[in-house]
Amino acid sequence: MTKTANNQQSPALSQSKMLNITGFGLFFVLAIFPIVFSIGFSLIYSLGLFGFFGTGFTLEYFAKIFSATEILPAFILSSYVAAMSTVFTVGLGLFIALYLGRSIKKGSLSLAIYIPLIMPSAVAAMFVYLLLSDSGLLARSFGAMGMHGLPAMVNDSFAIGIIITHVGLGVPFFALLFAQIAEKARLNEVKNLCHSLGANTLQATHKAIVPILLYRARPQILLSFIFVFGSFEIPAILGQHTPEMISVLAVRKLGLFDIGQKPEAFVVAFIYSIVVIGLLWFFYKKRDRNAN
Amino acid sequence: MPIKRIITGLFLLGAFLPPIVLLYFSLTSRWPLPDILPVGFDPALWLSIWWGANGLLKATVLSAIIAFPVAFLSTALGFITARALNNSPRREGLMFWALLPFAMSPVILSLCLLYLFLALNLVGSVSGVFLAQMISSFAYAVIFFTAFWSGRARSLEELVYTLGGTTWQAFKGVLIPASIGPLAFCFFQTFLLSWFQYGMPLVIGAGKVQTLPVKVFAFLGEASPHFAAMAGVLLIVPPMLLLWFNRKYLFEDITHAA
Amino acid sequence: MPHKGTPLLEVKNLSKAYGREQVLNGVSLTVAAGKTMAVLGQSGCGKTTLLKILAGLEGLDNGEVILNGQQITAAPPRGRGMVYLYQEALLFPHLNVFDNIAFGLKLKKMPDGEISYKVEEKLVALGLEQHAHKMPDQLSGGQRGRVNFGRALIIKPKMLLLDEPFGALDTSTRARMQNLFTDVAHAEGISTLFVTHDLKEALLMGDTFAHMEGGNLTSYASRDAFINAPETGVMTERDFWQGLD
Repeated sequence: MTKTANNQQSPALSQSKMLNITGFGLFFVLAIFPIVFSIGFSLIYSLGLFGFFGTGFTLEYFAKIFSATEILPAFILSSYVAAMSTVFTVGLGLFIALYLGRSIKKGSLSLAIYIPLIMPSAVAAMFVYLLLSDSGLLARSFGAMGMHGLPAMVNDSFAIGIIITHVGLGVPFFALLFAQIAEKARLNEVKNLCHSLGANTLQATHKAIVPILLYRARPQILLSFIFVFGSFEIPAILGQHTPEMISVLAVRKLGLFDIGQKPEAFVVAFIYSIVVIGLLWFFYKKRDRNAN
Repeated sequence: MPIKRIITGLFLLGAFLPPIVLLYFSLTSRWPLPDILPVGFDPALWLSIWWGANGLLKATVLSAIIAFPVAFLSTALGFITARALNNSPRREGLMFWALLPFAMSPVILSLCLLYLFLALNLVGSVSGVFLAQMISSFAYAVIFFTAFWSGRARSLEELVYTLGGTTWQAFKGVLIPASIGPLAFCFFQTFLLSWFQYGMPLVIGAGKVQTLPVKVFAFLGEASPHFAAMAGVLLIVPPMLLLWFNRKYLFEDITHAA
Repeated sequence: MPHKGTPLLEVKNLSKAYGREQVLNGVSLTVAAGKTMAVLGQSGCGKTTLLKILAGLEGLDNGEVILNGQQITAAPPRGRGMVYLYQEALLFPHLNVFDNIAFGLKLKKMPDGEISYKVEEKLVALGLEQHAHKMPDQLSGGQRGRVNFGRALIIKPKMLLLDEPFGALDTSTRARMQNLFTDVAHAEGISTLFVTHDLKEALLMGDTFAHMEGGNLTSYASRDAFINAPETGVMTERDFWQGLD
């Protein structure tokens, strides 16, 4: 038996190998290294082991998660906003994809649906602010009709403005996504199959179509939650002062002149990173198990 | 069906109202209470971007100087890297690492990288913002193209080899020309990621790299909604033009876009 | 070129494992010059891996590949003179029929005049002269198959490695392609290793025969030996049809 390790490198394969090595190198420099550095650095900093005022190892900053009135509420608020936004985005996306069906790919709708996809968060938030703030377009219109005292929807404690903006930006994406999944998975045929098995349209939609769509869109649904959870521009414009969403809080803590508060920014960043990694990891593990 | 019409109408309103409102705000100068709409219609306000007093022209150019190279490089490098990952037996595990820089909040990521950028003397510089944005755009491109390479691209590449071609010939003759659609899509998406990004220019740019999104926030902070709206319009016009000219193959397939 | 009948391809004791899974288990075979060897095997038996290793697209753990008396075990795919064709035609989507067929010649930087002449000739031989300027997505399945063959044959490979090349075609197109291929192969004296899961196709196309199962390959000395071997299923099939009377 001859051992044939690739001892004779071919020109094609060596070019190909070099390209592979370049790819891995880039991946390490631009993806793995920044993430490892970020997590490591935020941990070291938040344990008091770095910085001009690094005091040596301390759990004092981590303890602030529970003692300070800012960190824990920020995580609760962010989870709430992310959950509400995701539920409404996915729900409305499903509704539009199922109800308007193929027409979202034709005529004026096909153009309209792409506009939110090219709308930056900052601009969308500004629009919602102009529309919904207490001196905004809506309040003035109602005021002109003699109606005052609209509920606060901007900088409010239920984060309504933030959620509306996220939903508005996300719905078209999910509508398109669901429409495409329906086409690829030939859900019309699935629906006919359900009918032939004796299901009515509602049952077919409820028992087959929607579960299939949601199942196939799991990665995007999870990412949507993660994006909202860490979103910055929208809560920076539309959020209230306390509590703040995670990213806003972290940036404010970092920018404070009181250098003693900087470690708190890294506590927030560290916990945030762990939550995101945990969510993605959980999903990945589960998917791998399902695949096997 | 009337309900269908109403829903379609609401949808159209929701999509077209924001750009129209922003455009109107950018063309007016005052919004006193209790007027419903702003007054002082003054299209000449737009001329002010050329005089540079509000820095909008400079911000637009700066945003473009950052976003085009970010899009070009992250698309090209993502294409190559995704191929390498796809050829690796550890593909699944590596993909997890690609998801992280893309999924993580850019502003928190830049916060955690701030000291690294300080050490590299990149804070407050255009190249610093460029490099930071490369991290999230590159991750997006890698995820996007991994789906691409696991399809027929690899078989096409192998076919060129058995027909007697080199790697270079495979890329130049087949892989790149046959994937113009996906390449354009990825370029567009990574362009948007950079063009719209506020957190990274804020933290890594440290107030010195005044891109368009930074301007939006600055004007909002100064309570000048009319200039903010103008910056907003400048932000959405280029992607709208790109979208209009490329709508044939852009967004044809978004199922693997996120 | 060796004479017809002398071995063109010799494969000795080829093994390959992916992790703990042994995909090929000491496979040996010989293909004579100008002949087609049909390898019958169900999906997952390792036949695609075998072909890819022969083409140089996959590495191997052990064994030797000898083509025309020369060791090519570690040679690059492009230097082997073996073309591996996939189950689907896999035409280059951005090139028309003419340019698809011309592709291999352009890689060799042949002069344009010569390329045109050779491609025209091939187009006529394959009955594609009407379609030279069509794009792949304008072709029928059978036409795509013919372009695929034309693109491979024009570079005069020493050997074709065919991986269920007609698997994606409907029955009648498939039968026409089988005939066309046999004619062309005999006319040009092409040596072929042909893998298929279709018993009838194996019998139609092959000059010599082998059967593959679980990473093991058995070659048969004759057509009769192949027919009579219980593992190939020919007898079972014949009994079924005879039982209908």
